[in-house]
Amino acid sequence: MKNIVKIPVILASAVILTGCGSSHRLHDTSYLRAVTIDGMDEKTLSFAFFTSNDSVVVSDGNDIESAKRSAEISGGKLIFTGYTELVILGDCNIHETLGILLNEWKVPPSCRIVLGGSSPELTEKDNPEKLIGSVERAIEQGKAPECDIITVLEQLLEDGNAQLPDIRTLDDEK
Amino acid sequence: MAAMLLTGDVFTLFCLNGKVSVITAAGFLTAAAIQLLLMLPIAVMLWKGCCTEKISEALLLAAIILSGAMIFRMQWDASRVIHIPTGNARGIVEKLIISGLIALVCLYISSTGVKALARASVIAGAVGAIGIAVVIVSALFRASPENFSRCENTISFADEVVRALAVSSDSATLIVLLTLTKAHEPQGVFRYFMAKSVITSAMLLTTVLVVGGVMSITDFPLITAARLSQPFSVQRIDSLFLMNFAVFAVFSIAVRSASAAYLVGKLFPKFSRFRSSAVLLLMILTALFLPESRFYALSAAVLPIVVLIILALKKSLHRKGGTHEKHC
Repeated sequence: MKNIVKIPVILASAVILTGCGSSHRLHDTSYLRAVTIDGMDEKTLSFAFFTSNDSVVVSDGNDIESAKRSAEISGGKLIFTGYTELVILGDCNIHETLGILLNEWKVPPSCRIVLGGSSPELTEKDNPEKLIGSVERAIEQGKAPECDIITVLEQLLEDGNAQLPDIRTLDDEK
Repeated sequence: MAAMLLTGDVFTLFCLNGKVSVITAAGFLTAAAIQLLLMLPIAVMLWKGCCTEKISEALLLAAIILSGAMIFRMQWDASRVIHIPTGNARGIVEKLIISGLIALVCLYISSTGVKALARASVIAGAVGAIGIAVVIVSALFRASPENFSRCENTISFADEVVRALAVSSDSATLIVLLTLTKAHEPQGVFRYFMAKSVITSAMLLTTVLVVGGVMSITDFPLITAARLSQPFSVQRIDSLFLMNFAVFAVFSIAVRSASAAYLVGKLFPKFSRFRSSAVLLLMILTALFLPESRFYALSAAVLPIVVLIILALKKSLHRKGGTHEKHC
């Protein structure tokens, strides 16, 4: 009699606790590679992803999180931000934005932060790999300062300002 | 015994909330020294054959329930930054799902007995130690000595000692394990506190070196340190940390629930079934309804002192009566 009760409990636990019941699947998620963030009050974000079949998504929102949620609706997939390689900032509060990226989005410490002038936006023509490569080479050659998110945040919290490379200037130098 | 307690100590460090500095490390070391000074006389008395009375056992049970409740609370708080898949559940339902899952695993571990728990703790502790060592070494790649000065001390040394006493409120569990494992040589207690001090210092100082520059915007510095300890850009070492976090969460609750269940058995011999379930339920309810912070500190610091006084009184009464109790 005891086994009749035990067996369903064990089977249910095996299904529920091992993640077999999870609703999220790999192809339901887009892995963010580069993002532009612009706007002081109303935020405009454009997202570029690792996989080529995920097109660039542009979205608006009252804050960064709501803009991301809008992008998830337009793109039809969840956006995973844990591998983000490049963030291009427009007119926005850098300190507050980077705090959200570090604590809420959980971007990796190696994520590069650059400036993109007013209203930067990624388009289908932009190649995120090339943009990231340009930033990396510029840092290697000493033409741009170290700009990973931790270094930038440390400078901001210590001095109140941080040296950030401008992605447009890097293009000019090329 | 040391492995069973160290998993809990490391877990409470993982969940440490608020700023961490060199003063924090000093506070934790001082708190460990205070606990050692309290525990050594108790270990000596138990070693010489002194036994705990009903009143001491009731106090220890209360202290362990509070300590377990604090672990549940810390786990709930940490779930703000560590993703725990609870579906769309939020608020109290989310807390109950997390607690229920931990309680289920704890019940399974407890059902195999304290011996099995002790052996499993050694394995979990060893695997955890390797995991923590890898995270610390990886973190040192990102370490910056400047972060020592960047990290401002906004909390006083005395407050840090109180915080350390509050989060490492495992003295009561230690006393129970001393009687339960029959391994109450004072040297063992000394070695445990030495190991605890070394691990605590290594983890806190590494955290300051890695996270010091962004400490002011970090809620859970040790979890952030694990996340930032990423020597290669394509690799996320925090998955290793998450495994340690989950295993240590379960073991720290399991050790406390097994100790509390043992005390319930001694206090209420007729209560033979569902003791582990009852103490786990008590811990969760205590965590839900009791205020946090200093209350735990008070219980952690005061209850073992009371037990020490009771044991000392009992010993002196035995001496006056000319008896020497060796078997409990």
